[in-house]
Amino acid sequence: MIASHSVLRRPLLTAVLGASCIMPALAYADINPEFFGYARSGIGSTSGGGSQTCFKASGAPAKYRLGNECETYAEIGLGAQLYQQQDTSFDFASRVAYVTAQDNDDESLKDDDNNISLREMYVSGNNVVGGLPGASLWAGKRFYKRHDIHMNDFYYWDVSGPGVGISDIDVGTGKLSFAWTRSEGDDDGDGLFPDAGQQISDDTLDARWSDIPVNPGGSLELGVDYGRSSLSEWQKDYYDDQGVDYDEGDKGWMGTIEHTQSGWFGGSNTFAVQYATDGIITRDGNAVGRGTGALRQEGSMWRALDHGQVWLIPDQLDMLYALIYEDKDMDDNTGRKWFSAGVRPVYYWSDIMSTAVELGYDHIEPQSGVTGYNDSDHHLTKLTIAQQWSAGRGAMIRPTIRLFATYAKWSGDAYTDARNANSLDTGAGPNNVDFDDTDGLTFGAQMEVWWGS
Amino acid sequence: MLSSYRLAVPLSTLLFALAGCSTPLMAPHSPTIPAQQGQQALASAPDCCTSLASLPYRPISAQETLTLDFTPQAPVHDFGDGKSFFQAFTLPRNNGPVAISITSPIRDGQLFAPTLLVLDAAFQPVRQVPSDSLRVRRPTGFSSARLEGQFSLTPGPDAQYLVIYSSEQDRRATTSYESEAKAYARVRGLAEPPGPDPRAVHAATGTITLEIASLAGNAGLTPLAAAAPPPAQRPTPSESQGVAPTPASAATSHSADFDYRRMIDAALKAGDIELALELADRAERSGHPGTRAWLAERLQARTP
Repeated sequence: MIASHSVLRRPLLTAVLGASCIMPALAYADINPEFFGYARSGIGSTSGGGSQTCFKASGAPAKYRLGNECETYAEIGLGAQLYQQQDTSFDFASRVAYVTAQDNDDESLKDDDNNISLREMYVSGNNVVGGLPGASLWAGKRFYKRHDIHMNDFYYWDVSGPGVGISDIDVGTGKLSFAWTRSEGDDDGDGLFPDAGQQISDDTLDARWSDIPVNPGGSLELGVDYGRSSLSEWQKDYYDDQGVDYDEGDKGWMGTIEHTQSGWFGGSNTFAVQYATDGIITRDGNAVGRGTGALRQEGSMWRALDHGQVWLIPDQLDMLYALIYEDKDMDDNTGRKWFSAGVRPVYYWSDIMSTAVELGYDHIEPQSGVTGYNDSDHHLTKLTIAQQWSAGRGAMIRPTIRLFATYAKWSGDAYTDARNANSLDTGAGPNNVDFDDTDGLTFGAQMEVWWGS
Repeated sequence: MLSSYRLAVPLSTLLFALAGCSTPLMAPHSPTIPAQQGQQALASAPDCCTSLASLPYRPISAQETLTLDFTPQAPVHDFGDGKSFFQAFTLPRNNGPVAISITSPIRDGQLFAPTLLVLDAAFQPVRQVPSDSLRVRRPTGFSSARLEGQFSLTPGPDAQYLVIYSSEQDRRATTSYESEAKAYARVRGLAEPPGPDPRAVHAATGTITLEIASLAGNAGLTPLAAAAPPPAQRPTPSESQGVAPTPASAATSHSADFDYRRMIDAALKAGDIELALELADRAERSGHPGTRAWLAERLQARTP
């Protein structure tokens, strides 16, 4: 033991011994750290004065992001393969996310608009379950097979959180994945929750059948999520006393059918239809498939979306596009219909420099019971032009440094007299247009990068 | 609206600035030659040279990064394993060992899969690094998917020339690589795009980067990656037309004035144990017994 230990601490000597003995492999494992992540940051101003306003229609779960992001956001990931023997391996990954409001040099992550959060900490074991070759067993908290639309940063299927699961079981036709994840909270949707130190446990069970080949270059993914608030005995007693009927509203399910076409005008297209009920949707939140903690918000939601990337002129001009329709019908009429459409064509002047234009439109049609934002139909259009310098050609190539100007126009007053949300959401960053303005212009610069080894 | 004139100044300033930027200042991008078109150009091009000795060699220094374009304008020769566009270099002598790195990026679904051939002073092949010993690298967000390889050698009578070409066998293979979209999904924890990874065609034409860096006198400048391809593969006569394989003992005749221990020291300083071992082996073969033991001692002395 001592001898082998001292040899292990001398990699050069080990290498010499190994080479002279003509051993095929050295008996010590190197840890090769993997460094990965994502970041965006920049500076912007609102024409007329003040820092950059970010334009998001109130009631919409997303906004078109080019030249319309007001914060520093970063994810720093570290991981490593810790064990590998034949096809079996164990991998570790971690990720910490940071948000700051772009106020100054020294921003405390404890300040109101800032945050630091632990997003991932998990181990996955590949080919560790006998009889399930290719499958991966995992436990810990993680980003779990998230589905998003890049151009408006809209997540439509995301049950990430602490959990356990077995993923990518090869079943001949496609792959099966199962997971149990959690998203606890202290918000019951009614503001009745007594003690923030005690949480409502929201559990989600997720099952997916992915990579089902259905046509050349096309594949289908089917998924179902069941989420519920797992109330403890004392919590049930408490809510019984409060007269809250949590029998239906605390649980819900969501079904997803998604078709992805590769080789689609040089890019790909994704079409998805989703249906969700009760505890998975809330009047204010975005339904992503996980339990929300809301106890008596009953209703249903339909969502259909199509998004992708195409090359209009090979190597010269590509385009991101998105189309979303969502009808959230709450029993107490606090839901809304949301229609969203956007395009982002990018022309590549060279391998490095490009010009991007993003046109986005969001339309909100609130139900009769909506309070807290403009309760009549309202819409927002934004147009951005950006000059970009990137590490290559293509909508998904980073790093990018961009200079941008964004113009937005909306119906109705931006904010109420008290500067609360009216047609514009107030949570998307500084709110530096006048309360009765119906348009605004911002300009600035931003970098965006992602990487991974 | 109050805001309309307030907007005008910054907007026009920015648009003016953007318009100025939009003049392409950088060198125009050379478009990728479609694989089929490149193959046809190769088939119809005449062989430039009657022997390896008559290839158009150009000198490179011991510290250089070159972008090599394998276009229909490049010379063509049949190296015994199919006709190929090629580039040939005279390696810098009297500089000690050098590290040679090759990067061949995947572009528009194709790449140039290079074979590296090292010739001695008599134009005899002494070492061949085929493209299948290069490693496929995933896109990192900073560079695209690519083939990469590093190896080291000591230019001298035993290794005087370097030829880069693509054999028929290189071109028959394809390279499976991770798409940018999949790399993005991986690093952001998104659902990976379904379907198999794309495969890059190995074309007769393409662009690669050759980096040569001196290992002597620049201790620690270029620590070589552990990804070095397997050492010397001697081409067999059938692979290499009219060229007899160099006997291992041929090295001896040139090594009288060769200071192996100094070279091994340089390799150790550069952190290249593999090169040090290779040099020690060569020293043993060429009549310097005890070099390996000496190296082992040095390693033991260095190691804490």
